[in-house]
Amino acid sequence: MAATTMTPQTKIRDERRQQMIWLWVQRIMLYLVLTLVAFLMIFPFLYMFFTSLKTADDVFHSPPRLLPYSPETIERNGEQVPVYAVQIDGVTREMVVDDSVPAVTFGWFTTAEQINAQNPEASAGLIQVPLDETTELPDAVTIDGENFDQFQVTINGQTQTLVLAYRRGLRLFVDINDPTITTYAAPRNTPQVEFVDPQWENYNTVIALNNLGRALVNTALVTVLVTAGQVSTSLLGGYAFSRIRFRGRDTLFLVYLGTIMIPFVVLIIPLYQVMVILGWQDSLVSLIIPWLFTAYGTFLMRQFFVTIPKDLEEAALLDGASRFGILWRIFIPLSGPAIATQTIITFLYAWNSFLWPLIIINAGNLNDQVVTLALNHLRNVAASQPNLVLTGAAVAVIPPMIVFVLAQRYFIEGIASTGLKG
Amino acid sequence: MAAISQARPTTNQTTPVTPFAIPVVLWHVFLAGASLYAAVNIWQLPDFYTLGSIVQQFLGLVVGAYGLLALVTAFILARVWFMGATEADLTLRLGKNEIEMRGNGRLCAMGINYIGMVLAGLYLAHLLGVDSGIDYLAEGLFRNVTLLLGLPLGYLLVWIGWRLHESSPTRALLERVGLGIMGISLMLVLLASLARPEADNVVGGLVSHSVMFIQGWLTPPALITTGVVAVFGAVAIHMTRQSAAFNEKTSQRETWQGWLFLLPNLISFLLFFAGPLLLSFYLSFTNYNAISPAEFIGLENYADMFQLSVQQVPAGQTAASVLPALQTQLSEFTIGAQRYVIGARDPLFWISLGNTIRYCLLLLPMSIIPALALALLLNSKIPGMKFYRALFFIPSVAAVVGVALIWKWLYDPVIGYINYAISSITRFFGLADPQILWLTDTNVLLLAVVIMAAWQAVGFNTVIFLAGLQGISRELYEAATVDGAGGWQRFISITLPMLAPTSFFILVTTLIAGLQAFNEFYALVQENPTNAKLTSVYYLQQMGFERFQMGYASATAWVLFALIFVVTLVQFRLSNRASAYAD
Amino acid sequence: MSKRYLGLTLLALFLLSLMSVAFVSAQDDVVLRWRTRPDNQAEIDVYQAISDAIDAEWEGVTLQYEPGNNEGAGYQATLLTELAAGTAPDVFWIPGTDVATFASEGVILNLYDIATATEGFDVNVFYSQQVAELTYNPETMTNGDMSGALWGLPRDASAFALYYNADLFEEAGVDTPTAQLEAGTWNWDSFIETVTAIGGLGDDIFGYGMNAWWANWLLFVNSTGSRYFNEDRTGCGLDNEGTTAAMQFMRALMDTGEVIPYGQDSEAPFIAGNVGMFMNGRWATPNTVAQASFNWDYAEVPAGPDGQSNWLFWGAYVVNSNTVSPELAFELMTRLTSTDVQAQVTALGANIPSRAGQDAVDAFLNAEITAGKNNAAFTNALANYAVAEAPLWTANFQSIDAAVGALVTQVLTDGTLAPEEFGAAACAAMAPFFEEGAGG
Repeated sequence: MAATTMTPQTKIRDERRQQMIWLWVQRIMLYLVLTLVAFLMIFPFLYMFFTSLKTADDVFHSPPRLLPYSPETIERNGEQVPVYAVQIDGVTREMVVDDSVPAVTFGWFTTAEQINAQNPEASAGLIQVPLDETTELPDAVTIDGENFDQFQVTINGQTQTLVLAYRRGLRLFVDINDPTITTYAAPRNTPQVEFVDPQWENYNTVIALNNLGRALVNTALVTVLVTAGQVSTSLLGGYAFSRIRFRGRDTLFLVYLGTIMIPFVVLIIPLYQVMVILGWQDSLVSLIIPWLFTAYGTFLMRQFFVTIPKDLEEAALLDGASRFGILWRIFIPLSGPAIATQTIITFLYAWNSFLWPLIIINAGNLNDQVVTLALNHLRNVAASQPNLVLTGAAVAVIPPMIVFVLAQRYFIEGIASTGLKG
Repeated sequence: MAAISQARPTTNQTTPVTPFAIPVVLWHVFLAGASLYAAVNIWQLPDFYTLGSIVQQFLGLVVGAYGLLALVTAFILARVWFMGATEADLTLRLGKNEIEMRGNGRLCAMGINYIGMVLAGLYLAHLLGVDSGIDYLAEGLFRNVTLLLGLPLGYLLVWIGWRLHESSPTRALLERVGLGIMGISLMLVLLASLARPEADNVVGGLVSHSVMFIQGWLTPPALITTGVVAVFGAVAIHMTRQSAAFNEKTSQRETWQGWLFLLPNLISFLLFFAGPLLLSFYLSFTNYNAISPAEFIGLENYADMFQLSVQQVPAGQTAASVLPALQTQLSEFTIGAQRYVIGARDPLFWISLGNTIRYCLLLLPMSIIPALALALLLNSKIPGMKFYRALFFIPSVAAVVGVALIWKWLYDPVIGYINYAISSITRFFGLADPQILWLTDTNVLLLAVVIMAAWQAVGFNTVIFLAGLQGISRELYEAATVDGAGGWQRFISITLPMLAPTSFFILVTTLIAGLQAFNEFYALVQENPTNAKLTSVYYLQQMGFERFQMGYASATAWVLFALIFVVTLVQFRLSNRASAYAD
Repeated sequence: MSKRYLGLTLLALFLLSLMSVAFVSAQDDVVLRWRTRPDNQAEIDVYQAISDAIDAEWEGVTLQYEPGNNEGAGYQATLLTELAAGTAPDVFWIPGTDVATFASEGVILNLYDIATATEGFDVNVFYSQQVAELTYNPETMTNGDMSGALWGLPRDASAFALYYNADLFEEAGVDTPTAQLEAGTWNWDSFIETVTAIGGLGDDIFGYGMNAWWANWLLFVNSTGSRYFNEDRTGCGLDNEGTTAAMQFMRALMDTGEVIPYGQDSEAPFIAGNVGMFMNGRWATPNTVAQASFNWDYAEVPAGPDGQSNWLFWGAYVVNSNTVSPELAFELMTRLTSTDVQAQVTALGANIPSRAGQDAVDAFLNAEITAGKNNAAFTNALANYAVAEAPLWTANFQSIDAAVGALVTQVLTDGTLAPEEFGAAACAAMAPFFEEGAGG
């Protein structure tokens, strides 16, 4: 109806508005999808972080929950005991377990007709009676292939023969404000009164535990030395390969290129033997010196240096500058981005390396381990404390993330540009 | 340019004799004698770290070659200096090539002495405890780690400074103070770390450290080595300075300069890459077990590894009874009513290889397809895309070992979020809860590892796809739109073909990394007692470092290398074709 | 200050700092190095104190204790490498099952002659099961104190027990295993009933959990009278009805759905209070004491068709073939296995003395760390029905175990192997390793 009265201008405006709305819907959808994916990508780290703040018992709470909780406790007879939230007649009361009263075993009874053999707890007409007040009959009944014990149960003065659906040992709970209010319940199934209570001391515990602090220092030292070493040898080698025309250069360069393809596993065993011969096994030096050479890094530097104009260098050479002077004063200042990229890639690689340290550093040597090893060790010594294990994971995982966030631009762009050339 | 590269003409001038000519020649003669003597001794060593005689013979040959080179050098230098041989006298003609022996003799002398100096220097460093010094330094750093707080503090000041305007005086001040704090803190940490911990204070510790250091140096082996380093160094420098006397040509200068620049790189390449590579190849033909001396056993390791047989199983007989001796059942199949059994000498090799390949085949689609989709979503000019890109990338910077510990608990059947999510969803739709035992059930274990690995790799692949997408010119799309192509058609006919090189790159790097998978499995499912957790590298690690069958493990490594080599070759073929297509 | 000088100073300092030198102090005493596998820092401290005490009272000998790797990774692997490189300690501890490998490789000494020449030394003070293994002479295939072989002295002993969560038993209204044992009804049937009753307490509650390594499933096989290997340990012993019964029983356990799936870690959920019974060795005690926030105790394992069974786990101090002094090394071993030293180690809670005498047993039963608990569950087993874990001289145990362990997992997890087929399949899988011999 409106269309009949529409002028061409309003029609165009309407179409544009529709387009705009469609565009916005698209964008919102896009952001929604991206946010969802981002959540999935980040969630494991959130889980790690929150779990690292929990107590060991809290980790095993089922169903899982993110925030760290601790139970509320009060002092009772000189001991700290947990407070439970118990529902009695629709009212939630704060109660504690009366330790002076032993557990009472209750039976849940019903008639043979009403029992649900597959899931007795879901049977109809269940009556809860302390087992002590009943008498067990010698014969069991078989219902749908399951055996159930029969009992004589007295209810309201009337004795009946009922079958026992299931039994539970329950404890006496007392209201902390009004000791006359009591009830029987199973402590395990009764919700505790809890409050959010991050356990920051987990970090101290885990750093003290099996020398993780030393492992951090070792890793930092190894990473810094390996990174500095790799960048320097790559700069020197890359310069020689790109700018000095010496005999054997092209053959050697081909050999270098070829080594990029060789997987590290081929080298593990002999490299280990070389370390034994040098007496370097089980010490930090074995994590550093063998890693100062990198064919890939040398190759990347060479590729970068090739793009630097030759004029700069030739003028300097005519002026009698030394080769090293040229590298130092002309090439290095120009290769900031390449150096940054290689630094970050090497940093992450060295920080995260695992297989080589696993082989060369003895697991009992807590003085020469690196964080990845310490983590692997931690999962064994603290197997029953996932909170501490994940605290350790956080300690290992967070430093590279900080480096990544600080140097994000170099990193992603470096990967995007150099990755493709490889 | 021309002036530099033009070689000086060959001359008939004799070489001016240096005052050190006699000692230098004698030194080379001595070197030659000592090396040849050492070579003979190395050749005859009774036992060299149980690696077997071939290794020590090889080492003997290397040392011998060094000695021969020294002998030849001594001979050339003697002729040049004492017999007045000119460049022309010493030029060898081999077919078309002329080899100018006088200059090359000098280069040899430089090479021999530089290498000798570096090796003797390394040995001296070892004598002085530089290698164990890193452990000492780490220990010291750990004691004084609080002093390092100056680093972030200084960095913070510099960082604040950089936020200010270029010309602001505060900026310069902040920068200077910040750098000063960083430098002083670093220096204090190093000094404090150096000091002997048993001393009362840092100064005392430093003094006692220095005393110990000097004492260590004053032992006979260290003093002798220092002398050797000094002689090598002096001869090397002396020969370097003889460039004019020996009429050095540009190509010769560039040769020694080039090799000198490469030396740090080359030494570690030879010692820690090329040498071990040869050793690995040799060990794969031995029965090396780290304790008894290695024996050469030819192709036996490889033969054992590949020994397979297929046997019919007659009715009423067990599979084991029809297999040849030493073989165990790997798998079985039935054709018609006939049962067949596959036996292998080393079933674990095949199982681990199978796991590795299945892992790669699952990982490829799961890490590449989502990455492509994400890259397409991110490839628009609206705000916030860089933020998302960085978020997606975060998993790939974290250590696999740490990440695996997180996933281990996410996969927990009782308290893990993954099963919690699955059971919430199935309950919502009224379906049966599958209650997957991710890390125990051998049928899903591999999938569990793949999911984790894909999660780590997706962000990385997305970034590379994005770079590829940004390289596609807008004009192509505009032209296609004018031609009336829809979004899907544009994707099929432009995006995919133009992305082919990128996709191949990702495919191959993922495949090569996947074939070497170890960390993911070891860190996530090392507790699983079954063979389902074994990848080829995992198997190699177990064989080599838990059961010490290092010869056999080396052979597995080479088989794996061959596989990776084939994959890389195929990639080169395909990517050449693909880029031809894209052009 | 110019930046360059700052840089150079730093560089110089750095190089200097790398150049540290090791102390080489003059030493007249014989230096003996020894090592044992510790599980935690507390154990390291105790062993260090023991070493220092012996060092102080022993003239002419200087002791150096070096803690080895813990169990998580490669204690033995490290030792083997060090033996190859010639840097292994004089006296070291190895697990009992490894004695054969180390002796076959010739890296540990046969101490028989030194022991017979030592006055007052009697090997029979240790549990007889251990002595039988440590005196096995592979050449004559005999054992005992006249066999001509003595490979080492046992550091300690251990056995399995059921660690049970008393709170869960109370809640389920089920008698504790110890009560059932006293009533004479503690067998496989009542075990399954108990597991089902406790598992019924909730979806996240399990009746039973065990670890996935050989001693666990073999314990049930042993309680049928069947064994891993045949009598002279030259072949498979599993292809019989007893094995089938045991596998069927374990399969039935798994089928209740109330047992931690085989291969899944049981310790963490047990410590969290979600598992009724957890079969583990004495070594799990310090951790359980430190972390369990519920009431718990030990119980003996239920009887199978052939009665109860258990393992005597042990490890031994052995002497490096390249020791500086075999006599002094042997003396160190005797000192390390004295009643007094064993009492100190026992106090940590993780070990049981390897001396079978009443003094040692009493010291264990009254250990303060587990006062009031049913420690006799361990010593009863050791004294009455435990079988020693034994080295295998005729084949490589680890290889066999890897192959058979995979089959066990098949039976107990995905069910791709029926319990009835297990015995034959295990023996087939084992056969090639016996053909290969101990070296392989």
